[in-house]
Amino acid sequence: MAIIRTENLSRVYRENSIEVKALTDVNLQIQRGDFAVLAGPSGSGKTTLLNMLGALDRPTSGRAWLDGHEITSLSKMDRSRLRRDHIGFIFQFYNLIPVLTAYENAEFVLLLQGVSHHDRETKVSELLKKVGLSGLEHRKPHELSGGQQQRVAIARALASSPSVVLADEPTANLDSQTEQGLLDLMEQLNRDLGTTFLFSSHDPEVIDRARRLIVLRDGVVVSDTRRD
Amino acid sequence: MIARLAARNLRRHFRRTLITTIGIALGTALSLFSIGLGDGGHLQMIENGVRIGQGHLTVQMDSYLESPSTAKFLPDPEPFLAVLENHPGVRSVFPRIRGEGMLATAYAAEGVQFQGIDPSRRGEADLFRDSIAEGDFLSASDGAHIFLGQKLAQRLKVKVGRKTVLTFQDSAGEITSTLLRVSGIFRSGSSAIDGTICLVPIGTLQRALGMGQGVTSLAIYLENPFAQEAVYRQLERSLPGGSAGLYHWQTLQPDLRDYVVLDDVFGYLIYAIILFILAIGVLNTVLMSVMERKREIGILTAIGMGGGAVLRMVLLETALITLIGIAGGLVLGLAVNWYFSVHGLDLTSFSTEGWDLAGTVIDPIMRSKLRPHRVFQLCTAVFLLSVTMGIYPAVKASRTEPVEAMEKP
Ligand SMILES: Nc1ncnc2c1ncn2[C@@H]1O[C@H](COP(=O)(O)OP(=O)(O)O)[C@@H](O)[C@H]1O
Ligand SMILES: [Mg+2]
Repeated sequence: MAIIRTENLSRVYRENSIEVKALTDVNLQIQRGDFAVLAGPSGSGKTTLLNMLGALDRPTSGRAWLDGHEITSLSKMDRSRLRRDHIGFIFQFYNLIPVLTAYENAEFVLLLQGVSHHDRETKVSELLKKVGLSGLEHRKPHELSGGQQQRVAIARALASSPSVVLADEPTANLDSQTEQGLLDLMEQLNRDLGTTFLFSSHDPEVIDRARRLIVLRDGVVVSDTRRD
Repeated sequence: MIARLAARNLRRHFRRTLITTIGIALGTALSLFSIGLGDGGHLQMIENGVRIGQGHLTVQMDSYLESPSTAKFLPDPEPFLAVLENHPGVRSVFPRIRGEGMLATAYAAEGVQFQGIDPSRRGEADLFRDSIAEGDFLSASDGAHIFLGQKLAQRLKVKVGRKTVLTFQDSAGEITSTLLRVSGIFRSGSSAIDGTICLVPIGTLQRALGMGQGVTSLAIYLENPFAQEAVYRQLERSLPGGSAGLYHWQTLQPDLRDYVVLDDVFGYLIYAIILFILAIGVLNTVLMSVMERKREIGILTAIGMGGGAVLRMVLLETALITLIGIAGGLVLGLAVNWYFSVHGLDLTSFSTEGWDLAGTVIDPIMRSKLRPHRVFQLCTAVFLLSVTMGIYPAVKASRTEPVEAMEKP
């Protein structure tokens, strides 16, 4: 069964009576365990689509399902709970809470979920080790490099064992070597944990690593290919 | 977890937190100081007022209140004294006669207010005893002596040891005169008091007025002036009934009461202004910190922190700043109050005379008096007001839309 499904998903931004069709009739299915990339030039609607799928924003028309939940009709509180329990987020900018340490950032969603101290400790230590940050648990974000910060963000996204990880250009601000390391890590986590990854990029090196490639242009899906 | 986030957020903007905290602390301390000084000043005024007047509570004939006259006297004060002297809340009771008359010498005559007192009772008329300018206080309770104010003595051109004649209506309405020798002269600092009041032994007046053991009032001084109402209610029940009643100083000295009430209202106005400024400061700080953290709150919301939790986080931050500020204000305010309760605030340099007001004498050295319930009142007001100021920013923060908050820089 598809973990993500959309039906004529559209989003129109209205600003000073000017209408921008950011997304038009997107029909999409992402399978469980997929490692999919949303490609397309800047302004093609990648962020808009990820925001819809992540229950961060509502579409103008159309519907979307995530792990069986019809997200477009959920209340604000239910969307918040869906994000907490089913989705892991990695953003391009501003990912971490500056006042919390690497460990506390990764632990945060588990605290929101009310997971016990012991289980949190086990889970977070294991994840930080997996993303290669053992020994840096007590650093604050500003004491970490850009790549290390995104690793913390990955650990946080995976901490609650979400059905899907949504990442909006997670490597856009990193140098290519760090980028490759991060992609290796996400690929490995996808393989080891079976977590579904959907991330956006306009970088050919990233697009290369996709097993599933969806290309957007002007808010329309122009190609959708599998490469196993 | 919310508490940890709140505490860290405050620590991150240490300087801003510190400035707000200091603001709250100073506001609290300033309010405590002015409450302490105001209450202390009022207490001094009231204490002096009732010392010159007829006590915290007074027994007198009910008809005396409408038109004071020595004809309206309490013929047998003994049963009253028996009750009053045995009440634990009563420090002392003084039988007195008050009346108006004419005091004359060979040179002049002046209208006076005479007070018959028992000089053998400890503590009686100590305000006058403590301000002797010349001569001695009255000694025997039935000697033919008079103790008068300096202004009055000057107008009458009378010296210690000289004779005066006091003329008044006796209890039967007849005009009577009695010869009194000046035993001493006092100077209280209030020209109204120094120019009109003279003290005469009560026995001498009782004989001259023909009222036997009668008195016009029993002035009651309490151990604790703040217990006035409680003692009043107890005495009310145990005192003999009849045509004599028990009165509050507030009824007998309405000028003093009105002055204190008015000054209290003025005081509240000042605290209101201090609290208003404080509230604006808190609102500004919390609002600024919330707007600055818009993206951060966006992330928290995006990863599933609910609006309620965000609201609680901001309110908790406000409460924390406030509590620290109040704690600092308490330390500072109590210290300052302690200093001024021991050393007093010396106002003598502001005025050299005329420390009389509303029928009382104002001490030129004000001592602050801070009662626990006033401290509690103020701290509660500061806390509630400050946290209320956090509500708007907290609600605003809790409604953050993650998408808007996290737009590109
Ligand atoms: N909040 C917004 N208000 C108005 N227009 C927007 C807003 N967000 C995005 N857009 C427009 O929608 C289109 C798609 O934007 P976006 O989804 O950010 O593309 P991408 O992430 O692929 O760069 C662009 O034309 C952009 O200008
Ligand atoms: Mg984008």
